[in-house]
Amino acid sequence: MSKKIIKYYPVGNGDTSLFKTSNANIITDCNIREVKDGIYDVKEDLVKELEKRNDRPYTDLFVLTHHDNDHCLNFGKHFHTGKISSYDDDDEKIIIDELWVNEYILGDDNISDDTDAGIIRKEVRRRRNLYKNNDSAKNERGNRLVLIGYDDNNNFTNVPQHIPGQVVNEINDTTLDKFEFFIHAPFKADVIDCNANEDRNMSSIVYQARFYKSYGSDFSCRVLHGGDADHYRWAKIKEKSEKNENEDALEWDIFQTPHHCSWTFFNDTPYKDDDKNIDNSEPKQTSIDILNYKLTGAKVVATSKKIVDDKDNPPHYPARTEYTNVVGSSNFKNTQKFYDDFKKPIVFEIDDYGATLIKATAAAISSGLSKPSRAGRAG
Amino acid sequence: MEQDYVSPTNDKVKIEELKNDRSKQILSSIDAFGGTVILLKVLHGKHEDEFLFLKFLPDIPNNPINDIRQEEIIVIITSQDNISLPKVFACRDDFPLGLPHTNVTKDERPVSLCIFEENFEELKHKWSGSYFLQAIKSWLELTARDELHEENQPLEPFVMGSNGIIVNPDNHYIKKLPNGFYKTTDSTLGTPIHKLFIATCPVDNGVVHQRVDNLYALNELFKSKNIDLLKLLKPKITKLVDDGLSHRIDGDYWKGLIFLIVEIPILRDSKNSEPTLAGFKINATLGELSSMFGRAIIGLDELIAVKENLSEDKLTPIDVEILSPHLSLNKISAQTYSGIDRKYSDSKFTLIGLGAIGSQFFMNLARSGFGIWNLVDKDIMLPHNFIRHASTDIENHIAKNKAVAISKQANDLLNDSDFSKPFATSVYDVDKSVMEGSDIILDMSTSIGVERYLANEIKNVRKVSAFLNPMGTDFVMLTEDVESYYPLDILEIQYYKELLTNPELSNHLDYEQDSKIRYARGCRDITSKIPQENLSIFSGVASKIFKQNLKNNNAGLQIWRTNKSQNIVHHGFEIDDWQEKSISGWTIYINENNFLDTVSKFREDKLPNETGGILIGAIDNYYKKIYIVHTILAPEDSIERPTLFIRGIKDVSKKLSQISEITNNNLKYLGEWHSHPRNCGLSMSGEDKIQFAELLSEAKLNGQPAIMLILGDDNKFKIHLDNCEL
Repeated sequence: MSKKIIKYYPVGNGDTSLFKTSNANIITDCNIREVKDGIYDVKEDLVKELEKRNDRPYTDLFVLTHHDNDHCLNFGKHFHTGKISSYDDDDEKIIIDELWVNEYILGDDNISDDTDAGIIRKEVRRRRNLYKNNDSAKNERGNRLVLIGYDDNNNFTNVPQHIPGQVVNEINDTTLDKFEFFIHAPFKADVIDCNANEDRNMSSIVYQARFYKSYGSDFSCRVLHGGDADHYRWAKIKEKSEKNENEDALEWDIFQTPHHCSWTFFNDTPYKDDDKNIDNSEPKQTSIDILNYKLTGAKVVATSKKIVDDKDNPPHYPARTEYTNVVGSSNFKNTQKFYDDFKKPIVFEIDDYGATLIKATAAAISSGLSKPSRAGRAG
Repeated sequence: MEQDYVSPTNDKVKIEELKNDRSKQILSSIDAFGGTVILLKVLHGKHEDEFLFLKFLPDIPNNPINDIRQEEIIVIITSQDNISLPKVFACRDDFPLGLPHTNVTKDERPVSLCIFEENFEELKHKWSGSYFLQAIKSWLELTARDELHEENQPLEPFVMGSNGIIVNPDNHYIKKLPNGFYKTTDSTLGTPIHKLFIATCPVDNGVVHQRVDNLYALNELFKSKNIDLLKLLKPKITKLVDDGLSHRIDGDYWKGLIFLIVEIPILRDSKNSEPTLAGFKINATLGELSSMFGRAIIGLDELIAVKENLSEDKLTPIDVEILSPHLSLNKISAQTYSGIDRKYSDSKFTLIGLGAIGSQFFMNLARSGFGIWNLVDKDIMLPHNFIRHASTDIENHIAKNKAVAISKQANDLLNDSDFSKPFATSVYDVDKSVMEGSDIILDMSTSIGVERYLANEIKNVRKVSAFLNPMGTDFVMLTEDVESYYPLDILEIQYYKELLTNPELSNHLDYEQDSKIRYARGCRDITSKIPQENLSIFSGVASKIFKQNLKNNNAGLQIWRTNKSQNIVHHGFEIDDWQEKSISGWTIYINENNFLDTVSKFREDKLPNETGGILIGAIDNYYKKIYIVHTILAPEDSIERPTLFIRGIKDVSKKLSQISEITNNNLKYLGEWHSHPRNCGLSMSGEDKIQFAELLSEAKLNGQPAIMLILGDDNKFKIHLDNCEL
């Protein structure tokens, strides 16, 4: 692993991101659509980016912020579940060394077994049972599981846990090199509420990922990822962080718009309904405050389909306006728009100068980095 | 190339109507940049210039060092001719000023970007529209990170002047040279100057963007860097005035112009700065400036205070020329530019022989300010010498002594009369104390006599002898160890032995048969047909290896050879060990590795029989030295019995001829050796005495002592010399 990057794949309204740190690859969520014209081949790129062990691609960590379909689409097709010994080389699935989930994946009764969320739940149970039974295999890569947040239903007995306010710099018993997470959410109350309200978004894992500079203790890039957490969650995150003097955990160089640039980050929905006399068009100050924790040259990444001035939500045009009011339009990037313009995912290279958005496509064939297409007369 | 910006007209140009090739090439490349370069518009300019306004989207980090943005509007100006690079300007009103690699222009904005270091003549072979656009994009991206100016690149000058001045700190006049340059001089025919030195606080790296051509503008420039130039200048002017008055100096002194040299440390990073010099020729006399600073001079003895007037009106009419100062070459700067180890700056070297190889070797080192030299040569420069001599000044150096001519050439070059001292005499007439005061003596005289003289007569100094072979294809360097344990003469004899024992070197001492052979051709005499190129190659080898060998205390015997492809093959040899014996006023050196080991093994193989052979080596009758280095082992027709050995003659004559030919007669027949059986003494038997008597009478004929060596058990041997034995 050499270059440190953050990659946001163009997956429409959904999240799939990749961190490549100095010594670990980390995927957060997946919304990997079937490849066809105009749909980027996320799986192919992931396999190219990930390290291989025994010729099998693997990610050191997979963070499932929550198990809505747009955060786990085709998980079962592209990620290996079950024991490593059951791996089928023909499938070229990605092995997840360590899996982070919130409690609601096991607390949610509305998951069908044949959905991707069902497949993940089954995998979480398999891993959970290793801990529960104190099976020595629980510490092996491919079996590791960590609960993020509160265990409301005692479903995660013996499973390691990271709670809000905690700094995590270790996965798979390995210290992350110049990189760490600050866990913001889910809070205990939100886990309880999401079970009660059957609202998956409420239990979203929210974290700040921090890249350090090569030398010293300064950060070079801070990233806020919040799944689909709404403005209530963010208000609480702000309140707790400030109360506990963790303001620096709110700072960001890159902010991934929660819920695919929907209005829920700013206020309740509907945005406005004159017939019902509803007007939520004023953004909550707490959300604006969160955005104002931006650092120099900060960028917002809207992981959604192309944002146009219509009634859609998500992505929501007034939400885009709020973001651009804070960072300026040149620092607001939309995964689909970027893909349309540059035919590639949004990639930031991280170094001591911070995050650099890489727009240009480097010559890959002439520099020996890529094979040319097949030549000659076929058939 | 002039980089000033002249605004375009408002005439828009349609893409299909572009005329300039460069415009077409650039625009046709834009597609390849995948949306990171966008054409905004094209306008007409003067003289068919075309202005391409492009939006660049460089990859910029969110915390750039320099304020380069994610979107920058750049205008590229192409001209109809294809012999110059398009000009590039950053359009943004607040584009940062003072960045490295930007051009000096009349106006501050738009900022002119210096995209390439090379000129168009160098670039044109790889120039393309996409190459150019990529270079602009890289300029923006690297400048954002402050990485455009690479760490090992020199820092940019504080202010760019198109002209320069060559400064010798001791001179008081200035004269104009061609191409807008000046030079300080001692000649009163020049313009008198007062050189003033000022040092400032450190400033950031980055060239100034506006031309400065008068004293007011110069002061404003320094002000922008928080430096009060006039305040720094005033006490210097005042002191000059006071000195002039107190010494009642008349004439040129007061007419002298001020040449201001400012040392400005430029910050390479937050901690380190490097000094740079900026020079300003202020075209006002000391008298004029004195009045402006509040001191009017009347006559030569009266000074009246007047009101200081440094207003814009007063300062603007005073022209200022920015002259990049270049210190005249001296020994220190020569060392710096050559990357020379200063350790040897004051080492004393004596070089004997300033002929073709010696002069070129010396000038290689002189150009790098290496060492302090005594140059010894008794010969004068004749016309043919200039073909291969370091001096090409035939007009001034013809008939001059070689050492004198080349010493002056080096000393003038370095502006240092102490760098070298000529001795226009034979080495034998140079006071030994001069040579013994040297750290190293180099013999490049091509004379074996000189080498032997140095080896035998000059003590406690390490010596080196270097020379070409007769055909000029090989170069030899013999280097004593620091203790001179292996002196030059010993190394010389081993050198002949190596020619004998290394078949690839057997033609080393060949010479052209049709070349003029003088009455006594020495093996280091070279043919008159050697091209200068060979001298150039080997003088380079010589100076490099000489410096290299200085760092090594060991003795060395090295040969370099060029082949037809002009590859240089190096032959380095382990130095042989020798035993030294003294007998009857003679010193005999016996080579252990090539001679003693060989004959001892041969004896072992032949036991219980006696055996023997011929002693091959050299004799120095003057210093009474005998070097036994090689042998011809018992020929096939020899008779070898337990108590008898009669050396045969088969092929002996042929082998001796070969030895003579390969070593140019420097190794030859010395005498005989034979072995005694086990447990026998090394004294001469009756038969031995008879043989020795024969050797003696023959040796007298050859003018050399008779030598017989008897070899016994345990590698022990006894040498019999002219009836004496040891």
